[in-house]
Amino acid sequence: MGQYKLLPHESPSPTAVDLSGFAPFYALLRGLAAVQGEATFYERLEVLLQLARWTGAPPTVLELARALGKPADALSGALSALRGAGWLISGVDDRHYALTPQGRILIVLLQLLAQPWTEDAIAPVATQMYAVAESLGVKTELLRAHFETVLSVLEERTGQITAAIGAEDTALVESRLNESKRNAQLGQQALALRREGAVSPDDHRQAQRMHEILSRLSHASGELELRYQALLTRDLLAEGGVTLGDILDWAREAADAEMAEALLPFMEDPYLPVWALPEIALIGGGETLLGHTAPRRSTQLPKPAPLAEIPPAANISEVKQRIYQVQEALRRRLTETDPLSLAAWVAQESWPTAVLHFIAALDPQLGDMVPPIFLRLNGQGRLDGGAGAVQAVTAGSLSHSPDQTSE
Amino acid sequence: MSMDEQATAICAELIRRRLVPRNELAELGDDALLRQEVSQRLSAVGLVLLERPGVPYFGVALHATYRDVEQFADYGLDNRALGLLLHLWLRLVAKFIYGEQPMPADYTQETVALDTLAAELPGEWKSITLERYITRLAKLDWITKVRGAEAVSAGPMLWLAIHHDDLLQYLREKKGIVKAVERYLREEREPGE
Repeated sequence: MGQYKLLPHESPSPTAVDLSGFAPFYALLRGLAAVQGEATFYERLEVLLQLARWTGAPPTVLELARALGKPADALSGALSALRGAGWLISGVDDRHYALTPQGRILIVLLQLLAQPWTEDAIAPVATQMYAVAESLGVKTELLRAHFETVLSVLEERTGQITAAIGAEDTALVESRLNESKRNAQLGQQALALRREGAVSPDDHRQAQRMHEILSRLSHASGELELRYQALLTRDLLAEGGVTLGDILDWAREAADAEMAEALLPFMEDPYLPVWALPEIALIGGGETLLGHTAPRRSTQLPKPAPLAEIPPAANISEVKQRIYQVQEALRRRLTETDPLSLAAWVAQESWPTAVLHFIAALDPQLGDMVPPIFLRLNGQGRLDGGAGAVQAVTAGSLSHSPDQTSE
Repeated sequence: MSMDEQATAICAELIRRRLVPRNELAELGDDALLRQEVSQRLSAVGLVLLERPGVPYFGVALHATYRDVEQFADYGLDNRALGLLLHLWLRLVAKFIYGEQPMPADYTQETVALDTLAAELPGEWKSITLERYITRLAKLDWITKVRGAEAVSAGPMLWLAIHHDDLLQYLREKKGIVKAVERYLREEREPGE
Protein backbone atom coordinates (compact mmCIF):
# COMPACT_ATOMS: atom_id res chain seq x y z
CA MET A 1 0.00 0.00 0.00
CA GLY A 2 2.94 2.29 0.66
CA GLN A 3 3.72 2.37 -3.04
CA TYR A 4 0.67 4.52 -3.76
CA LYS A 5 1.57 8.19 -3.64
CA LEU A 6 -0.56 11.18 -4.45
CA LEU A 7 1.21 13.86 -6.48
CA PRO A 8 -0.18 17.35 -6.54
CA HIS A 9 -0.63 18.36 -10.14
CA GLU A 10 1.17 21.66 -9.69
CA SER A 11 4.29 19.97 -8.36
CA PRO A 12 6.49 17.56 -10.29
CA SER A 13 7.78 15.90 -7.13
CA PRO A 14 5.56 13.19 -5.63
CA THR A 15 3.99 13.88 -2.24
CA ALA A 16 3.47 10.85 -0.04
CA VAL A 17 -0.14 10.26 0.99
CA ASP A 18 -1.10 7.69 3.59
CA LEU A 19 -3.99 5.72 2.19
CA SER A 20 -4.35 3.40 5.15
CA GLY A 21 -7.55 5.08 6.27
CA PHE A 22 -9.32 3.82 3.17
CA ALA A 23 -8.63 0.14 3.88
CA PRO A 24 -11.95 -0.54 5.66
CA PHE A 25 -13.86 0.58 2.56
CA TYR A 26 -12.28 -1.83 0.18
CA ALA A 27 -14.91 -4.45 0.85
CA LEU A 28 -17.71 -1.93 0.50
CA LEU A 29 -16.35 -0.43 -2.69
CA ARG A 30 -15.05 -3.52 -4.35
CA GLY A 31 -16.92 -2.50 -7.46
CA LEU A 32 -14.40 0.29 -7.90
CA ALA A 33 -11.80 -2.30 -8.83
CA ALA A 34 -14.13 -5.07 -10.09
CA VAL A 35 -12.36 -8.39 -9.59
CA GLN A 36 -8.84 -7.19 -10.13
CA GLY A 37 -7.80 -7.00 -6.49
CA GLU A 38 -6.73 -4.57 -3.83
CA ALA A 39 -3.86 -3.01 -5.81
CA THR A 40 -6.23 -1.96 -8.56
CA PHE A 41 -8.63 -0.55 -5.93
CA TYR A 42 -5.96 1.75 -4.54
CA GLU A 43 -4.76 2.73 -8.00
CA ARG A 44 -8.26 3.80 -9.04
CA LEU A 45 -8.87 5.48 -5.70
CA GLU A 46 -5.68 7.43 -6.21
CA VAL A 47 -6.91 8.62 -9.62
CA LEU A 48 -10.21 9.76 -8.09
CA LEU A 49 -8.43 11.57 -5.21
CA GLN A 50 -6.11 13.29 -7.66
CA LEU A 51 -9.01 14.44 -9.83
CA ALA A 52 -10.89 15.65 -6.73
CA ARG A 53 -8.05 17.97 -5.82
CA TRP A 54 -7.42 19.08 -9.41
CA THR A 55 -7.92 22.75 -10.05
CA GLY A 56 -8.23 24.44 -13.40
CA ALA A 57 -9.21 22.73 -16.67
CA PRO A 58 -9.77 18.95 -16.50
CA PRO A 59 -6.48 17.08 -17.17
CA THR A 60 -5.65 14.80 -20.04
CA VAL A 61 -4.34 11.30 -19.40
CA LEU A 62 -0.79 12.56 -19.90
CA GLU A 63 -1.18 15.40 -17.43
CA LEU A 64 -2.73 13.03 -14.93
CA ALA A 65 0.03 10.45 -15.45
CA ARG A 66 2.64 13.13 -14.90
CA ALA A 67 0.96 14.29 -11.73
CA LEU A 68 0.68 10.75 -10.38
CA GLY A 69 4.15 9.72 -11.50
CA LYS A 70 2.79 6.75 -13.44
CA PRO A 71 2.98 5.65 -17.08
CA ALA A 72 0.09 6.94 -19.19
CA ASP A 73 -0.56 3.46 -20.55
CA ALA A 74 -1.13 2.10 -17.12
CA LEU A 75 -3.67 4.81 -16.33
CA SER A 76 -5.77 4.46 -19.45
CA GLY A 77 -7.38 1.24 -18.29
CA ALA A 78 -8.24 2.67 -14.88
CA LEU A 79 -9.72 5.82 -16.41
CA SER A 80 -11.87 3.81 -18.81
CA ALA A 81 -13.19 1.59 -16.04
CA LEU A 82 -14.01 4.56 -13.81
CA ARG A 83 -15.71 6.39 -16.65
CA GLY A 84 -17.69 3.27 -17.50
CA ALA A 85 -18.87 2.97 -13.88
CA GLY A 86 -20.17 6.54 -13.91
CA TRP A 87 -17.57 8.12 -11.61
CA LEU A 88 -16.01 10.19 -14.42
CA ILE A 89 -17.77 12.44 -16.92
CA SER A 90 -18.06 11.00 -20.40
CA GLY A 91 -19.51 11.98 -23.78
CA VAL A 92 -18.64 15.66 -23.98
CA ASP A 93 -14.86 15.54 -24.24
CA ASP A 94 -13.38 12.07 -23.90
CA ARG A 95 -9.79 13.37 -23.89
CA HIS A 96 -10.22 15.18 -20.60
CA TYR A 97 -11.14 13.59 -17.30
CA ALA A 98 -13.26 15.04 -14.47
CA LEU A 99 -15.40 13.66 -11.63
CA THR A 100 -19.15 13.36 -12.00
CA PRO A 101 -21.15 14.79 -9.03
CA GLN A 102 -21.50 11.22 -7.75
CA GLY A 103 -17.74 10.74 -8.01
CA ARG A 104 -17.12 13.97 -6.12
CA ILE A 105 -19.55 12.99 -3.37
CA LEU A 106 -17.96 9.58 -3.14
CA ILE A 107 -14.50 11.05 -2.66
CA VAL A 108 -15.63 13.67 -0.18
CA LEU A 109 -17.46 11.09 1.90
CA LEU A 110 -14.58 8.64 1.68
CA GLN A 111 -12.18 11.31 2.83
CA LEU A 112 -14.44 12.11 5.75
CA LEU A 113 -14.87 8.48 6.67
CA ALA A 114 -11.19 7.70 6.28
CA GLN A 115 -10.25 10.33 8.88
CA PRO A 116 -9.39 8.89 12.29
CA TRP A 117 -12.45 9.68 14.40
CA THR A 118 -12.50 10.34 18.07
CA GLU A 119 -15.61 9.95 20.15
CA ASP A 120 -16.11 13.69 20.17
CA ALA A 121 -15.72 13.95 16.41
CA ILE A 122 -18.90 12.08 15.54
CA ALA A 123 -21.13 15.12 15.63
CA PRO A 124 -18.74 17.39 13.72
CA VAL A 125 -18.19 14.77 11.05
CA ALA A 126 -21.89 14.19 10.66
CA THR A 127 -22.41 17.91 10.36
CA GLN A 128 -19.63 18.14 7.80
CA MET A 129 -21.20 15.37 5.83
CA TYR A 130 -24.46 17.20 5.83
CA ALA A 131 -22.78 20.44 4.80
CA VAL A 132 -20.81 18.74 2.01
CA ALA A 133 -23.89 17.07 0.67
CA GLU A 134 -25.76 20.35 0.74
CA SER A 135 -22.92 22.15 -1.02
CA LEU A 136 -22.84 19.50 -3.70
CA GLY A 137 -26.49 20.08 -4.41
CA VAL A 138 -27.75 16.64 -3.46
CA LYS A 139 -31.47 16.03 -3.30
CA THR A 140 -33.74 17.07 -0.43
CA GLU A 141 -34.25 13.49 0.70
CA LEU A 142 -30.52 13.02 1.07
CA LEU A 143 -30.22 16.28 2.98
CA ARG A 144 -33.03 15.17 5.24
CA ALA A 145 -31.33 11.82 5.82
CA HIS A 146 -28.04 13.47 6.66
CA PHE A 147 -29.73 15.92 8.99
CA GLU A 148 -31.44 12.99 10.66
CA THR A 149 -28.00 11.53 11.29
CA VAL A 150 -26.88 14.78 12.86
CA LEU A 151 -30.00 14.86 15.04
CA SER A 152 -29.62 11.26 16.20
CA VAL A 153 -25.98 11.72 17.07
CA LEU A 154 -26.59 14.97 18.89
CA GLU A 155 -29.55 13.52 20.80
CA GLU A 156 -27.49 10.58 21.92
CA ARG A 157 -24.55 12.74 22.90
CA THR A 158 -26.80 15.21 24.71
CA GLY A 159 -28.10 12.37 26.88
CA GLN A 160 -24.53 11.45 27.82
CA ILE A 161 -23.62 15.07 28.41
CA THR A 162 -26.60 15.59 30.73
CA ALA A 163 -25.72 12.44 32.66
CA ALA A 164 -22.36 14.00 33.59
CA ILE A 165 -23.90 16.93 35.48
CA GLY A 166 -23.65 15.16 38.84
CA ALA A 167 -20.29 13.50 38.14
CA GLU A 168 -17.41 13.81 40.61
CA ASP A 169 -14.70 13.44 37.98
CA THR A 170 -13.42 16.89 37.07
CA ALA A 171 -11.87 15.75 33.78
CA LEU A 172 -15.10 14.06 32.70
CA VAL A 173 -17.19 17.11 33.57
CA GLU A 174 -14.76 19.38 31.74
CA SER A 175 -14.82 17.09 28.70
CA ARG A 176 -18.62 16.99 28.62
CA LEU A 177 -18.78 20.74 29.16
CA ASN A 178 -16.55 21.38 26.17
CA GLU A 179 -18.49 18.86 24.13
CA SER A 180 -21.77 20.50 25.02
CA LYS A 181 -20.50 23.86 23.83
CA ARG A 182 -19.09 22.40 20.63
CA ASN A 183 -22.22 20.41 19.88
CA ALA A 184 -24.43 23.41 20.53
CA GLN A 185 -22.38 25.35 18.00
CA LEU A 186 -22.57 22.54 15.46
CA GLY A 187 -26.28 22.14 16.05
CA GLN A 188 -26.77 25.84 15.38
CA GLN A 189 -24.79 25.59 12.16
CA ALA A 190 -26.67 22.50 11.02
CA LEU A 191 -29.96 24.16 11.86
CA ALA A 192 -29.02 27.23 9.85
CA LEU A 193 -28.18 25.05 6.88
CA ARG A 194 -31.33 22.97 7.29
CA ARG A 195 -33.54 26.01 7.26
CA GLU A 196 -32.37 26.73 3.74
CA GLY A 197 -33.98 23.62 2.39
CA ALA A 198 -36.98 23.35 4.71
CA VAL A 199 -40.06 22.79 2.60
CA SER A 200 -42.15 20.05 4.22
CA PRO A 201 -43.62 19.32 7.67
CA ASP A 202 -40.87 16.74 8.12
CA ASP A 203 -38.30 19.46 7.73
CA HIS A 204 -40.00 21.54 10.39
CA ARG A 205 -40.26 18.58 12.74
CA GLN A 206 -36.53 18.05 12.31
CA ALA A 207 -35.91 21.72 13.01
CA GLN A 208 -38.10 21.49 16.12
CA ARG A 209 -36.10 18.48 17.35
CA MET A 210 -32.89 20.41 16.83
CA HIS A 211 -34.29 23.30 18.83
CA GLU A 212 -35.09 20.93 21.68
CA ILE A 213 -31.60 19.47 21.55
CA LEU A 214 -30.08 22.93 21.60
CA SER A 215 -32.23 23.87 24.56
CA ARG A 216 -31.11 20.77 26.47
CA LEU A 217 -27.51 21.43 25.51
CA SER A 218 -27.74 25.00 26.70
CA HIS A 219 -29.15 23.92 30.05
CA ALA A 220 -26.55 21.17 30.38
CA SER A 221 -23.78 23.64 29.54
CA GLY A 222 -24.88 25.95 32.34
CA GLU A 223 -25.10 23.13 34.88
CA LEU A 224 -21.80 21.62 33.79
CA GLU A 225 -20.12 25.01 34.00
CA LEU A 226 -21.20 25.36 37.62
CA ARG A 227 -20.26 21.78 38.39
CA TYR A 228 -16.89 22.20 36.75
CA GLN A 229 -16.18 25.36 38.74
CA ALA A 230 -17.12 23.59 41.97
CA LEU A 231 -14.97 20.56 41.20
CA LEU A 232 -12.09 22.73 40.07
CA THR A 233 -12.33 24.72 43.29
CA ARG A 234 -12.33 21.50 45.30
CA ASP A 235 -9.34 20.12 43.41
CA LEU A 236 -7.32 23.32 43.58
CA LEU A 237 -7.86 23.65 47.32
CA ALA A 238 -7.05 19.98 47.92
CA GLU A 239 -3.92 20.10 45.80
CA GLY A 240 -2.65 23.41 47.19
CA GLY A 241 -3.32 25.09 43.87
CA VAL A 242 -4.11 28.45 45.46
CA THR A 243 -0.94 30.49 45.70
CA LEU A 244 -0.11 33.58 47.68
CA GLY A 245 0.02 35.31 44.30
CA ASP A 246 -3.66 34.53 43.81
CA ILE A 247 -4.48 36.18 47.14
CA LEU A 248 -2.32 39.17 46.21
CA ASP A 249 -4.13 39.41 42.89
CA TRP A 250 -7.39 39.61 44.79
CA ALA A 251 -6.01 42.20 47.19
CA ARG A 252 -4.83 44.42 44.32
CA GLU A 253 -8.42 44.77 43.16
CA ALA A 254 -10.35 44.64 46.44
CA ALA A 255 -11.97 47.73 47.92
CA ASP A 256 -10.94 48.95 51.39
CA ALA A 257 -14.23 47.84 52.93
CA GLU A 258 -13.85 44.32 51.54
CA MET A 259 -10.28 44.13 52.82
CA ALA A 260 -11.34 45.39 56.24
CA GLU A 261 -14.18 42.89 56.39
CA ALA A 262 -11.76 40.07 55.57
CA LEU A 263 -9.23 41.10 58.22
CA LEU A 264 -11.42 42.06 61.17
CA PRO A 265 -12.54 38.58 62.31
CA PHE A 266 -8.92 37.50 62.59
CA MET A 267 -7.40 40.37 64.50
CA GLU A 268 -7.32 41.16 68.19
CA ASP A 269 -7.95 44.64 69.46
CA PRO A 270 -4.57 45.57 70.88
CA TYR A 271 -5.50 49.10 71.69
CA LEU A 272 -6.63 49.36 75.27
CA PRO A 273 -8.41 52.66 75.63
CA VAL A 274 -8.35 55.01 78.57
CA TRP A 275 -9.43 53.14 81.63
CA ALA A 276 -11.85 55.74 82.94
CA LEU A 277 -15.28 54.93 81.63
CA PRO A 278 -18.52 56.76 82.34
CA GLU A 279 -20.58 54.93 84.90
CA ILE A 280 -23.47 54.61 82.52
CA ALA A 281 -21.23 52.73 80.10
CA LEU A 282 -20.20 50.34 82.83
CA ILE A 283 -23.84 49.59 83.67
CA GLY A 284 -24.32 48.55 80.03
CA GLY A 285 -20.93 46.90 80.00
CA GLY A 286 -21.82 44.78 82.99
CA GLU A 287 -24.88 43.47 81.22
CA THR A 288 -22.83 42.90 78.11
CA LEU A 289 -20.12 40.91 79.79
CA LEU A 290 -22.51 38.78 81.78
CA GLY A 291 -24.73 38.07 78.82
CA HIS A 292 -21.90 37.90 76.26
CA THR A 293 -23.95 39.99 73.91
CA ALA A 294 -22.77 42.68 71.58
CA PRO A 295 -21.72 45.88 73.33
CA ARG A 296 -24.24 48.67 73.33
CA ARG A 297 -23.41 52.26 72.71
CA SER A 298 -23.97 54.62 75.61
CA THR A 299 -26.72 56.28 73.59
CA GLN A 300 -28.56 52.97 73.50
CA LEU A 301 -28.47 52.49 77.23
CA PRO A 302 -31.71 52.94 79.21
CA LYS A 303 -32.19 56.23 80.97
CA PRO A 304 -30.98 56.20 84.53
CA ALA A 305 -33.59 55.35 87.13
CA PRO A 306 -35.03 58.28 89.19
CA LEU A 307 -33.07 59.04 92.27
CA ALA A 308 -34.20 57.17 95.31
CA GLU A 309 -35.69 59.11 98.17
CA ILE A 310 -33.26 60.16 100.81
CA PRO A 311 -33.69 57.96 103.82
CA PRO A 312 -34.70 59.47 107.17
CA ALA A 313 -32.03 61.71 108.50
CA ALA A 314 -30.69 59.42 111.12
CA ASN A 315 -27.12 60.37 110.50
CA ILE A 316 -27.57 63.92 109.43
CA SER A 317 -25.53 66.29 111.51
CA GLU A 318 -27.11 68.58 114.01
CA VAL A 319 -26.11 71.62 112.01
CA LYS A 320 -27.95 70.33 108.98
CA GLN A 321 -30.90 69.40 111.12
CA ARG A 322 -31.00 72.97 112.31
CA ILE A 323 -30.84 74.31 108.79
CA TYR A 324 -33.69 72.08 107.73
CA GLN A 325 -35.76 73.32 110.64
CA VAL A 326 -35.04 76.93 109.81
CA GLN A 327 -35.94 76.40 106.19
CA GLU A 328 -39.10 74.65 107.17
CA ALA A 329 -40.05 77.46 109.49
CA LEU A 330 -39.25 79.97 106.81
CA ARG A 331 -41.32 78.08 104.29
CA ARG A 332 -44.25 78.05 106.67
CA ARG A 333 -43.97 81.75 107.33
CA LEU A 334 -44.01 82.52 103.65
CA THR A 335 -46.94 80.36 102.81
CA GLU A 336 -49.23 80.77 105.75
CA THR A 337 -52.36 82.74 105.10
CA ASP A 338 -51.53 85.07 107.93
CA PRO A 339 -47.80 85.30 107.62
CA LEU A 340 -45.43 86.96 109.92
CA SER A 341 -44.58 90.46 108.77
CA LEU A 342 -41.09 90.94 107.51
CA ALA A 343 -40.34 93.35 110.30
CA ALA A 344 -41.26 90.68 112.75
CA TRP A 345 -39.58 88.02 110.69
CA VAL A 346 -36.18 89.70 110.58
CA ALA A 347 -36.37 90.11 114.29
CA GLN A 348 -36.37 86.38 114.72
CA GLU A 349 -33.44 85.04 116.61
CA SER A 350 -32.34 82.73 113.83
CA TRP A 351 -32.56 85.32 111.08
CA PRO A 352 -28.87 85.54 110.00
CA THR A 353 -28.63 81.81 109.49
CA ALA A 354 -32.10 81.56 108.12
CA VAL A 355 -31.64 84.13 105.39
CA LEU A 356 -28.43 82.53 104.10
CA HIS A 357 -29.95 79.10 103.82
CA PHE A 358 -33.12 80.52 102.50
CA ILE A 359 -31.08 81.85 99.57
CA ALA A 360 -29.29 78.50 99.22
CA ALA A 361 -32.57 76.67 99.12
CA LEU A 362 -34.01 79.03 96.55
CA ASP A 363 -30.99 79.15 94.27
CA PRO A 364 -31.58 75.89 92.35
CA GLN A 365 -35.11 76.98 91.60
CA LEU A 366 -34.06 80.46 90.71
CA GLY A 367 -31.47 78.98 88.37
CA ASP A 368 -34.25 77.86 86.07
CA MET A 369 -35.45 81.42 85.69
CA VAL A 370 -33.94 84.01 83.45
CA PRO A 371 -31.55 86.25 85.37
CA PRO A 372 -31.51 88.73 86.93
CA ILE A 373 -33.74 87.23 89.54
CA PHE A 374 -35.71 89.30 91.98
CA LEU A 375 -37.95 88.63 94.90
CA ARG A 376 -40.81 90.97 95.46
CA LEU A 377 -41.84 92.20 98.86
CA ASN A 378 -45.52 92.73 98.91
CA GLY A 379 -47.37 95.23 100.99
CA GLN A 380 -47.78 92.77 103.83
CA GLY A 381 -44.03 92.21 103.91
CA ARG A 382 -44.28 88.78 102.25
CA LEU A 383 -41.63 87.55 99.83
CA ASP A 384 -42.56 86.04 96.51
CA GLY A 385 -40.71 85.58 93.24
CA GLY A 386 -41.46 87.42 90.02
CA ALA A 387 -41.24 90.74 88.30
CA GLY A 388 -41.27 94.13 90.02
CA ALA A 389 -38.81 92.96 92.58
CA VAL A 390 -36.87 95.21 94.82
CA GLN A 391 -34.15 92.84 95.97
CA ALA A 392 -31.55 90.88 94.06
CA VAL A 393 -31.47 87.57 95.78
CA THR A 394 -28.67 86.10 93.71
CA ALA A 395 -26.36 88.81 94.94
CA GLY A 396 -26.72 87.32 98.36
CA SER A 397 -28.10 90.45 99.99
CA LEU A 398 -31.54 91.00 101.28
CA SER A 399 -32.64 94.40 102.43
CA HIS A 400 -35.92 96.11 102.63
CA SER A 401 -37.50 99.47 102.55
CA PRO A 402 -39.01 100.55 105.87
CA ASP A 403 -41.93 102.03 103.92
CA GLN A 404 -42.76 98.74 102.44
CA THR A 405 -42.37 96.81 105.60
CA SER A 406 -44.42 99.09 107.76
CA GLU A 407 -48.04 98.36 107.89
CA MET B 1 8.06 37.21 95.45
CA SER B 2 5.33 34.58 95.30
CA MET B 3 3.88 33.49 91.96
CA ASP B 4 0.66 35.22 92.94
CA GLU B 5 2.47 38.52 93.40
CA GLN B 6 4.52 37.96 90.25
CA ALA B 7 1.40 37.34 88.19
CA THR B 8 -0.24 40.47 89.58
CA ALA B 9 2.79 42.58 88.78
CA ILE B 10 3.10 41.20 85.26
CA CYS B 11 -0.59 41.73 84.51
CA ALA B 12 -0.33 45.30 85.74
CA GLU B 13 2.73 45.88 83.61
CA LEU B 14 1.13 44.41 80.52
CA ILE B 15 -2.03 46.43 80.95
CA ARG B 16 -0.05 49.59 81.64
CA ARG B 17 2.27 49.28 78.64
CA ARG B 18 0.26 47.09 76.26
CA LEU B 19 3.50 45.82 74.70
CA VAL B 20 6.48 44.72 76.81
CA PRO B 21 9.83 43.41 75.51
CA ARG B 22 10.26 39.74 76.35
CA ASN B 23 13.61 40.33 78.01
CA GLU B 24 11.91 42.51 80.59
CA LEU B 25 9.54 39.68 81.44
CA ALA B 26 11.98 36.81 81.12
CA GLU B 27 10.25 34.85 83.89
CA LEU B 28 7.01 34.94 81.89
CA GLY B 29 8.76 33.31 78.95
CA ASP B 30 10.55 30.73 81.07
CA ASP B 31 7.86 29.69 83.52
CA ALA B 32 4.92 27.90 81.86
CA LEU B 33 2.90 27.91 85.10
CA LEU B 34 3.34 31.62 85.55
CA ARG B 35 2.38 32.20 81.92
CA GLN B 36 -0.74 30.12 82.42
CA GLU B 37 -1.64 32.08 85.54
CA VAL B 38 -1.16 35.43 83.80
CA SER B 39 -3.12 34.22 80.82
CA GLN B 40 -6.01 33.10 83.03
CA ARG B 41 -6.09 36.35 84.96
CA LEU B 42 -6.17 38.40 81.77
CA SER B 43 -8.78 36.10 80.28
CA ALA B 44 -10.98 36.56 83.34
CA VAL B 45 -11.30 40.25 82.52
CA GLY B 46 -11.74 39.86 78.77
CA LEU B 47 -8.11 40.30 77.78
CA VAL B 48 -5.76 37.98 75.94
CA LEU B 49 -2.01 37.54 76.30
CA LEU B 50 -0.25 37.97 72.95
CA GLU B 51 2.97 36.12 72.23
CA ARG B 52 4.62 34.33 69.34
CA PRO B 53 7.95 32.57 68.97
CA GLY B 54 10.46 34.82 67.29
CA VAL B 55 8.71 38.02 68.30
CA PRO B 56 10.57 39.69 71.18
CA TYR B 57 7.46 41.13 72.82
CA PHE B 58 4.59 40.14 75.03
CA GLY B 59 1.40 42.00 74.38
CA VAL B 60 -2.10 42.29 75.68
CA ALA B 61 -5.29 42.84 73.70
CA LEU B 62 -8.98 42.97 74.24
CA HIS B 63 -10.45 39.58 73.42
CA ALA B 64 -12.32 39.65 70.12
CA THR B 65 -15.56 38.70 71.90
CA TYR B 66 -15.62 41.95 73.83
CA ARG B 67 -14.22 44.42 71.36
CA ASP B 68 -16.33 47.08 69.72
CA VAL B 69 -15.34 47.32 66.07
CA GLU B 70 -17.09 50.65 65.72
CA GLN B 71 -14.58 52.07 68.15
CA PHE B 72 -11.66 51.02 65.93
CA ALA B 73 -12.22 54.16 63.93
CA ASP B 74 -11.89 56.20 67.11
CA TYR B 75 -8.21 55.46 67.20
CA GLY B 76 -7.61 55.58 63.48
CA LEU B 77 -8.38 52.09 62.26
CA ASP B 78 -11.01 52.96 59.67
CA ASN B 79 -11.64 50.78 56.62
CA ARG B 80 -8.80 52.38 54.71
CA ALA B 81 -6.35 51.72 57.51
CA LEU B 82 -7.54 48.12 57.87
CA GLY B 83 -7.26 47.58 54.11
CA LEU B 84 -3.73 48.93 54.18
CA LEU B 85 -2.98 46.78 57.20
CA LEU B 86 -4.06 43.64 55.34
CA HIS B 87 -1.90 44.62 52.37
CA LEU B 88 1.05 45.05 54.68
CA TRP B 89 0.36 41.73 56.33
CA LEU B 90 0.27 40.03 52.91
CA ARG B 91 3.50 41.76 51.95
CA LEU B 92 5.46 41.37 55.19
CA VAL B 93 4.12 38.32 57.00
CA ALA B 94 1.99 36.04 54.81
CA LYS B 95 4.81 34.50 52.80
CA PHE B 96 6.36 33.13 55.98
CA ILE B 97 3.05 31.74 57.20
CA TYR B 98 2.32 30.28 53.77
CA GLY B 99 5.57 28.37 53.91
CA GLU B 100 6.98 29.97 50.80
CA GLN B 101 9.92 31.10 52.88
CA PRO B 102 11.30 29.93 56.23
CA MET B 103 10.45 32.03 59.27
CA PRO B 104 12.88 34.95 59.52
CA ALA B 105 15.20 35.22 62.50
CA ASP B 106 14.24 38.87 62.80
CA TYR B 107 10.56 39.65 62.46
CA THR B 108 11.40 43.06 61.00
CA GLN B 109 13.65 41.58 58.33
CA GLU B 110 11.13 41.87 55.51
CA THR B 111 10.56 45.42 54.34
CA VAL B 112 8.59 47.16 51.66
CA ALA B 113 9.35 50.54 50.15
CA LEU B 114 6.52 53.05 50.32
CA ASP B 115 6.81 53.66 46.56
CA THR B 116 6.34 49.97 45.87
CA LEU B 117 3.48 49.77 48.30
CA ALA B 118 1.75 52.78 46.72
CA ALA B 119 2.06 51.16 43.30
CA GLU B 120 0.54 47.91 44.53
CA LEU B 121 -2.37 49.39 46.42
CA PRO B 122 -5.71 49.56 44.64
CA GLY B 123 -7.31 52.94 44.07
CA GLU B 124 -5.73 56.33 44.44
CA TRP B 125 -3.27 56.82 47.29
CA LYS B 126 -1.63 60.20 47.47
CA SER B 127 1.78 60.00 49.08
CA ILE B 128 0.72 62.33 51.87
CA THR B 129 -2.30 60.14 52.63
CA LEU B 130 -0.21 57.00 52.62
CA GLU B 131 2.31 58.63 54.92
CA ARG B 132 -0.48 59.65 57.31
CA TYR B 133 -1.87 56.13 57.50
CA ILE B 134 1.60 54.62 57.82
CA THR B 135 2.30 56.93 60.75
CA ARG B 136 -0.99 55.95 62.34
CA LEU B 137 -0.28 52.22 62.01
CA ALA B 138 3.28 52.69 63.24
CA LYS B 139 2.02 54.57 66.29
CA LEU B 140 -0.17 51.60 67.15
CA ASP B 141 2.83 49.23 66.70
CA TRP B 142 1.36 47.41 63.70
CA ILE B 143 4.33 48.37 61.59
CA THR B 144 7.75 49.93 62.08
CA LYS B 145 9.23 52.66 59.96
CA VAL B 146 12.68 51.73 58.72
CA ARG B 147 15.17 54.33 59.82
CA GLY B 148 16.81 56.26 57.04
CA ALA B 149 14.63 54.75 54.34
CA GLU B 150 11.21 55.35 52.90
CA ALA B 151 10.17 51.85 53.85
CA VAL B 152 8.36 49.91 56.56
CA SER B 153 8.72 46.54 58.21
CA ALA B 154 6.34 44.54 60.36
CA GLY B 155 5.68 45.89 63.83
CA PRO B 156 5.21 43.54 66.79
CA MET B 157 1.42 43.77 66.63
CA LEU B 158 1.39 42.62 63.00
CA TRP B 159 2.89 39.36 64.21
CA LEU B 160 1.18 39.16 67.60
CA ALA B 161 -2.38 40.36 67.16
CA ILE B 162 -3.46 38.52 64.02
CA HIS B 163 -4.60 34.90 63.78
CA HIS B 164 -2.32 34.17 60.85
CA ASP B 165 -3.29 30.61 60.03
CA ASP B 166 -7.01 31.26 60.22
CA LEU B 167 -6.74 34.44 58.16
CA LEU B 168 -4.65 32.70 55.52
CA GLN B 169 -7.07 29.79 55.31
CA TYR B 170 -9.97 32.21 54.93
CA LEU B 171 -8.20 34.18 52.21
CA ARG B 172 -7.26 31.00 50.35
CA GLU B 173 -10.73 29.49 50.43
CA LYS B 174 -12.81 32.61 49.90
CA LYS B 175 -10.69 35.07 47.96
CA GLY B 176 -7.60 33.48 46.39
CA ILE B 177 -9.52 30.50 45.05
CA VAL B 178 -11.52 32.75 42.72
CA LYS B 179 -8.32 34.07 41.20
CA ALA B 180 -6.79 30.58 41.12
CA VAL B 181 -9.72 29.21 39.13
CA GLU B 182 -9.49 32.15 36.72
CA ARG B 183 -5.77 31.57 36.33
CA TYR B 184 -6.21 27.85 35.80
CA LEU B 185 -8.86 28.36 33.13
CA ARG B 186 -6.76 31.04 31.45
CA GLU B 187 -3.69 28.82 31.36
CA GLU B 188 -5.74 25.93 30.09
CA ARG B 189 -7.17 28.07 27.32
CA GLU B 190 -3.87 29.69 26.42
CA PRO B 191 -1.20 27.21 27.45
CA GLY B 192 1.57 29.12 25.66
CA GLU B 193 1.15 32.26 27.75
